[in-house]
Amino acid sequence: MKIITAPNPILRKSSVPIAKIDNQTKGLVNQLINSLIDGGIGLAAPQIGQNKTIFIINLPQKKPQIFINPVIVSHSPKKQYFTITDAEEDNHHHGQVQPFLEGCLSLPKFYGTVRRWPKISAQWLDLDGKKRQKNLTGLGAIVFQHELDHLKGKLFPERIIKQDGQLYREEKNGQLKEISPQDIFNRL
Amino acid sequence: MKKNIVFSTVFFGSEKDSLIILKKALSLPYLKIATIVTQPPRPTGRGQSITPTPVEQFAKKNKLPLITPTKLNFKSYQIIKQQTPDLALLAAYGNLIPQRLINLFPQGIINVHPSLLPQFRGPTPVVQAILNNNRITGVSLFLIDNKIDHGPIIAQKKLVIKDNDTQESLAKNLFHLGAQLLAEKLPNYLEGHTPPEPQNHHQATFTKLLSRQDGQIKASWLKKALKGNRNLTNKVDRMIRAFYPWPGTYTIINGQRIKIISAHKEKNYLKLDLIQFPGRKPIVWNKNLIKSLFLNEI
Repeated sequence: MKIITAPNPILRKSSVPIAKIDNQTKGLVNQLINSLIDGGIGLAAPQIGQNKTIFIINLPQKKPQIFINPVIVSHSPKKQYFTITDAEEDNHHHGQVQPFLEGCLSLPKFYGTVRRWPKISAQWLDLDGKKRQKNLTGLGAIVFQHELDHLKGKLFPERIIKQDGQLYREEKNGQLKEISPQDIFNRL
Repeated sequence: MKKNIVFSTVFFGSEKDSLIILKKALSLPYLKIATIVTQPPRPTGRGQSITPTPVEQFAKKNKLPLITPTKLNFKSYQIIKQQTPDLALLAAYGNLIPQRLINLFPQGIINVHPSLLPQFRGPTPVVQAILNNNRITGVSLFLIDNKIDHGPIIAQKKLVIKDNDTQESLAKNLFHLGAQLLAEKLPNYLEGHTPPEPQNHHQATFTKLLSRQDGQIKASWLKKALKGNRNLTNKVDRMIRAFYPWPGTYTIINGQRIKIISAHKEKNYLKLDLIQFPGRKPIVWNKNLIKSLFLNEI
């Protein structure tokens, strides 16, 4: 299954909740899992052309997790930027800090700083239709909020504009060049 | 600078090179270092022993006021606020500064950043300047705002990158240049004579943190460089210099991870100087090693 990239109206549409988990739903979940390419940590149904409220999250070293009709029931008071802490065994440099740059499989080569809630309490249905609830922090919380945005037809540059954040495009030489999020947004 | 005016100053820094700026600040009669803020001790090196930052070690040795918060939360905000600071200096601190904290300083937070901003924002500007084959780089003094390395510039100075510069030597030279520039420009800035100039954001580039994998040199590249392929000699030589001392460079030959510690160029040839086999001490390069390295392929 090919992942839809912007601009495409499907990515900007609100998705419809799943009323009944049937074989069709299960087929869609399989498609999502099979479409997740190397390095992708999350994928929402609209990204493979279906405006339905399902996404999967695939954190490094973990199994893909399925979220049907997901919602955030509560969250920490303030949104914040995240940073990357170097997980290498010898943490050589104390003095370096890199903001976490969000990317999106539907917006290849674009990365940016997005403020998100550091802690959320999420609710969803699993594939058996059972209600699940969990507190998410760190990368899990970021990805959940990013994917939930997809279900509302929202792409991350929209957040960047609102928050006056920074957006970068990866150039051919691998360098990240800063670009105006408004320019990109007008083309989404 | 008028006499008898002393600016209460907070210093943020966590690296060996931060000390170059701190020592300069301590030597300026119109600054009083009210507090030093550095990262808390962290596991470093092979033994993963918990080591305080060089800044903490220096502060303790010289009995300077110090705090080492993990996060710049409300508690650290209040400690800093009590100093009624005028100004802050920041050099390789390693944490984002919340807007609330920025607002505490009437004269702002001046960051010493080792690149000619807006080029090479982010955590690894010195590495990227070498990798990118820049002839010239430099240092920027700018005011921190709510975005990364984005604030208006107080002063900049250029520096030519030498053929044998490593990340370590170039960073050190850039911070020395920054310290000198600070001493030169700070009085004027504090008196309001040099309004900071916004950066040209359309020209901005961003550098990323490095991981160990970034230091891998393909065995085929290394082989070609040793055989005198000019492009690859230049490329590999730049990698070795840019990644020294961290993350370091290595190649994988016959499943062995061989560290390349230093090398130099002779015309179009890459000449290795010091390499290290797994579990061994570093050895000086000699011609016989090429056979043991590439035997299976020749």
